[in-house]
Amino acid sequence: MNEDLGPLITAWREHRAEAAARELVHVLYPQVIRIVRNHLSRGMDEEDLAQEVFRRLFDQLHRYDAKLPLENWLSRLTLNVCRNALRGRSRRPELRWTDLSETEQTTLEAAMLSPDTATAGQAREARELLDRALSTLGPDDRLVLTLLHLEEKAVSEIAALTGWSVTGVRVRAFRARRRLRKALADLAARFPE
Amino acid sequence: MHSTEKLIQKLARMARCEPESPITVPPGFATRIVSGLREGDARDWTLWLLPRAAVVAGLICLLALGYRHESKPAPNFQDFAATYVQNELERGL
Repeated sequence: MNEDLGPLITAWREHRAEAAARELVHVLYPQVIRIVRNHLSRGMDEEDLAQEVFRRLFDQLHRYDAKLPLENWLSRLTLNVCRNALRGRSRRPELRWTDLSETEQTTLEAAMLSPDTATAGQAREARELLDRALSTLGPDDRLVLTLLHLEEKAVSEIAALTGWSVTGVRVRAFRARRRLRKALADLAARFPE
Repeated sequence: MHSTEKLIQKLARMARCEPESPITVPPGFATRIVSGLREGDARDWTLWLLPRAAVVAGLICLLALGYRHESKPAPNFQDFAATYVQNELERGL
């Protein structure tokens, strides 16, 4: 992607060419919105967040080292914007079985029984439930678990994306899991090992 | 594996089956970004200009004061002496 975008980046950096900026927005939008959707709670305005990502992108593009992949740089920037947005959100201390709607309870039971396949509807319910479970965590804990479990990223990839060390990622993941265990103790008790 | 982790992993596996909703750039999105950049540029330019304009204005004020001070006529000794003598004479009378 870098090679294709090189001339556009140069045109923006050197001449502030608006046509190049428009083209960059069109090319990079899917990557930005995928990350935003994965990391934000449903109901948060993804378009506003994407707008903030692009504002920062053009603001900081002069600092971008063209030898490195733009995807990584952009992902890191997008994750930072998501993290900041999540910082302002209040979170519930725990999620109990009785907090779940009947549909959510059914989805959870289905997930525990046959999780390998799911209809689009079940998948959507599962995503919402996962979102509720993760909303009991702080932004960094949520980020690390989303990257690990939902996006299935390797620890080294997460380290590159977040700027944390590999050990740092492992420690954060360990602590995040411990906090989640505490927050979901009531739900987990329904499904003993 | 602890049951909470199993629960999260199973939910995540299910959630990954969700078909991706189509991604299209919303109408007017790129225009909003570009106009925001334009406004930002104008703001940056104003921020660059304001302190410099203040410094230049200050310099002009100082120069004007200096010029005024320089161009004030030096007190004329003869006039001063004449006024002094006249005053003394009036007082004596």
